[in-house]
Amino acid sequence: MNTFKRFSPLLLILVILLTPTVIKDNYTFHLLIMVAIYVVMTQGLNLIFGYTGFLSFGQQAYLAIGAYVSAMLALRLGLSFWVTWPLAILATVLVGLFIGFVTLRLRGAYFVIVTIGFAEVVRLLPMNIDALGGPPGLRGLPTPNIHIGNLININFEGTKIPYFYLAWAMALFAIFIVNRLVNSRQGRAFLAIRENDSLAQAVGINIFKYSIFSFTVSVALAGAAGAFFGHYVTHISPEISAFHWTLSMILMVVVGGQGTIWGPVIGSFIFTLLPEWLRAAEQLRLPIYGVLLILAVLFMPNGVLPWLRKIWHQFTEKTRKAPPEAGSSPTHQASS
Amino acid sequence: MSLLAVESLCMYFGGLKAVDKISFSVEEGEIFTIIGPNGAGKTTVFNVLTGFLKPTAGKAIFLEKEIQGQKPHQIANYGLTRTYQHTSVFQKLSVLDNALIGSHRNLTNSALDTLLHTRSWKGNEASAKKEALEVLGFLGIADHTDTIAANLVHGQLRLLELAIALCSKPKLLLLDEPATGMNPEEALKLMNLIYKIRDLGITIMLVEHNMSVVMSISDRVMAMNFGTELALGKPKEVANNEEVIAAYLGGGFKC
Repeated sequence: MNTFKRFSPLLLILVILLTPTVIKDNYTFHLLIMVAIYVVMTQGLNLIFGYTGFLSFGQQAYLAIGAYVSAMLALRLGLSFWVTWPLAILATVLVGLFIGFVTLRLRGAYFVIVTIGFAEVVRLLPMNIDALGGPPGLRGLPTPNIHIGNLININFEGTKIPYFYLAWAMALFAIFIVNRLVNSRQGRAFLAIRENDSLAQAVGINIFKYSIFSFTVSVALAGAAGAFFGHYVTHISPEISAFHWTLSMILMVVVGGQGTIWGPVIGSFIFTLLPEWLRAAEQLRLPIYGVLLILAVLFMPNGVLPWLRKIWHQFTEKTRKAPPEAGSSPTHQASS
Repeated sequence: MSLLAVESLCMYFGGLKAVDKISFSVEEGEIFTIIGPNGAGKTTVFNVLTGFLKPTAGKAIFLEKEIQGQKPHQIANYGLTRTYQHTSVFQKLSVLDNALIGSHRNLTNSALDTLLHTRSWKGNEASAKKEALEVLGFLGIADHTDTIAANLVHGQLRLLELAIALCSKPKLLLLDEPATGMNPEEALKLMNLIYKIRDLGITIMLVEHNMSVVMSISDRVMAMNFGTELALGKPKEVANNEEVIAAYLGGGFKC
């Protein structure tokens, strides 16, 4: 198990690297890129919601801020994606710090309402400001082409494979950051705030500081995903600050397993691929989501991950028990 | 210089004088107990000292610093830690994680150290884990390291609470009714434990109802009623104080 744990990141990287040898059609690549984008966003939401206990209902706002800042810098100043991306993340962090400073003194329903309110403001801004493209949005965002002299030329136009690699590199990086954070004194401070904030203070944890920290990392990931998304579809509109983004994220985190690293990843796969199978029932998609969320909260309050783990443990225990049986009656084993 | 000096501390809620002009001091290495009937203001004193309430007036000086009105986490970082009257732990986390949260203030690695797994992170994590296991062993719950706190029985939970507080390495430990819900045998064990904690060099302040516990372990006792101080002194003196007897048994009681 320990060796498995040590090599699983390498295994994962290998699977991602080899995916293009198996998958050839662009549509599947598009879905896998969307999964990666959702992984980044849900790792962020999971940090503030699953680990720190603040339900942020306005994550789409930071998605939009990341996308719009990167798009404006690229279109107006002609900067490359590789410059606008970090600047967009920085802008999201600054906004997140400010909003966190104002809202994280509030708990429960108050925090939820303020995050919704702020997201609504962010949604209305690009709708009404012509410089931001108005309702039709901004078109022609540059692709993240890489040209370093004549040595390296990676062209993102007309192919999805570079996007696929970049998206999953970003997703793995997000998983890496959140994983390291939660397994440390910082992460334990987040958990302490979620579980019992007055006891956390009594042992010297500055709950305001750590809530802001968690929230800032959370929105930075949303901003990174938003900016990437903009340069991937090369066209953004105020739709990017629509509530359904956050709704999907919450579903992914809750159904996947809040407060776990891999739960939101599983959730991202389920809720990116599920709508494709539900295509025939497009109108029923949201009601089905709603029912799934209710069922998950009622019957799997910790998500599918603990349930999958249980099955895995039962499976490994069975295989561990198998060898002595095989030793006692080898002939029987061979004949069957 | 006393470890903690409280000077005419007042905590009023509107017209209600929950704590009214209380003064006392706690010396290093002693066990100091506050007793009093329900509603006397004992827990309010704790809440003010640990920063959960801002006092209306008065001073609290801990290690020569004025701490009244400061934030709970700041006061905890000076080395003043408390436990709660109602068992208070991190329910969904393992016993070890609970203890490690207690050590938070003693760790120094920054978030960047955490992300890069620097030597500072490694050293901090290793020493925190070692100390947490020592504390759990000291309290006799080391067998339950990986148990989720919610699955512990009441007695173990009270020990875990102590473990969290001890991991923060306090200089002064405030215990709010630690013997609540314990039978005489458990209370006896707790007394021994409190002595052992004192012997680690931690000064202890108690709020307690269980008189057999109070009388046998306290070095000094302060009795309160209706927010005011009735008596302060050696346990025997306070127990024989007429005002204290009247407060507990009703006015006009004469032997």
